[in-house]
Amino acid sequence: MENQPIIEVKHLAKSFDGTAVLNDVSLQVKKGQCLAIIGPSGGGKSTLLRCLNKLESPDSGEILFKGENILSHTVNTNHIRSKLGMVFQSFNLFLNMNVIENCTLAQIKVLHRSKEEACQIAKKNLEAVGMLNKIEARPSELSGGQQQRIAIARALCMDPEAILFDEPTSALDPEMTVEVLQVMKDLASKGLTMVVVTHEMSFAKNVASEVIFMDKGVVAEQGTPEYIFEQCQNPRLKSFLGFSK
Amino acid sequence: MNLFEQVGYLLSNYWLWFLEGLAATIILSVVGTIGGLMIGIFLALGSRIKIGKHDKWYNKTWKGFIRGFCYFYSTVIRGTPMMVQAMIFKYSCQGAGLNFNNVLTGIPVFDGWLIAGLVVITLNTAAYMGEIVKSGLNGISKGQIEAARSLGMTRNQSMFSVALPQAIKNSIPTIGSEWIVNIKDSSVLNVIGVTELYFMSNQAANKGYMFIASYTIIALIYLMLTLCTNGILHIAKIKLDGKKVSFPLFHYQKKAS
Repeated sequence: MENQPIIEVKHLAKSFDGTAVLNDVSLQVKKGQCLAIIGPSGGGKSTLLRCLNKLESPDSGEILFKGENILSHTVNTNHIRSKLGMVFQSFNLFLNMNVIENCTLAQIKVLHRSKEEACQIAKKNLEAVGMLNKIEARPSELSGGQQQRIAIARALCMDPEAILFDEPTSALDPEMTVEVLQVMKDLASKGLTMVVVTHEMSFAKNVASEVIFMDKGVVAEQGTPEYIFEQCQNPRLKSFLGFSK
Repeated sequence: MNLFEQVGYLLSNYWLWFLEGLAATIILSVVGTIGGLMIGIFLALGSRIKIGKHDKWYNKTWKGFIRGFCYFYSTVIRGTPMMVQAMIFKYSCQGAGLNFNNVLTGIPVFDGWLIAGLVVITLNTAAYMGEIVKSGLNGISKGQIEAARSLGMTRNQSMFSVALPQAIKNSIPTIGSEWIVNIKDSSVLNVIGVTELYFMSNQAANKGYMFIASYTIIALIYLMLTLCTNGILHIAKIKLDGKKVSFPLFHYQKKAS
């Protein structure tokens, strides 16, 4: 079972008010893989990611999480979500709580851990992202980069099978982008399964194990970073990456 | 007697009446506001119930019923005067054989009519609080709920742990002004015989035909009450923001020399 993909998407389609956003998208994410999804805005990247977590419901197609179709009505969505972490562009830390409460709330409510256990796990993960000295702080007192690192720790606390990153650095300045990307790089090297929608080409090039180029709701190109960034001759991809004149 | 002598006369002879009225008004406004907020939260949640595409027909039915009821309740209560609601309540209860004269007899202030008044003001405030909480919830960014749901929390868990606390905190100023409205509007409950401040001052005024003096006294009392309420809200707001309490009124800025 070593080769069974954690996430498998088959022929996914989704449209908003008649506009097709996703059109027959298929892909696989294997354990330990870091999949980067790049492409122009409006290409369906974020929608795809949100479908994986059922924040959007697709019109047709299948999403298999460890072989189970999560789109069927009999599946416990909340259980699936607790196994698939999500990190948002706008951080979305709970504003009515401090850092440690942000990281323990779902552990206590969803995984039914005791408060002490949840605190311990939260501290371990906050240390991994370098935010252990801020556990009493409120989100409003923190910089964007710090908030995003805490959001990553919050997702890690659930011991997820995979984490979905929805443009995690798009709201950050270059310095903060570096600190968040460093955390993500560490996670990738530790073998965490990640799906990253990003505009950070350096991350896709150097950290990702596979890159998908999405345009107009379809997977236009797919392959290793070397293939996407150096060998591929797709004119749309080349113009997106700024190679063509 | 001039106005000041009349005020002095009324206060020295009927101070207990004013005190009883004051007590009733405070009880009415505090219980009405807090009770109304509690019910209002459920009204707000009820009117936001989602009817899913795949719900069974009986789930669709009761969800639709709750939503319809919340909408109907808020429309009717906010669209009619509290004085009229109080009268309808009083006479319906009498028609059903419940006379508030016979409830809790012999206790000063806290009599049957106060109970009736509490019911009316609470049910009335609930409709307004429902709208306040609803708009508070609308102001919470969608990402907050999505983050909670993405961690596997249920719709109710995300609502009660994440969205509702933020919505109520953001609504504190509006909830506070609703409290101030209640302090003043509880006076209309005199029509069903609630012995609140206006009712008692009316009685005192009639004793010595000192109308202006009597109403001036309660006008000042109402003003003091609302000023105190403002102070309490000011402190509450600062405490909720996690800052140190200070009173801008009692501070003066040192001029830069």
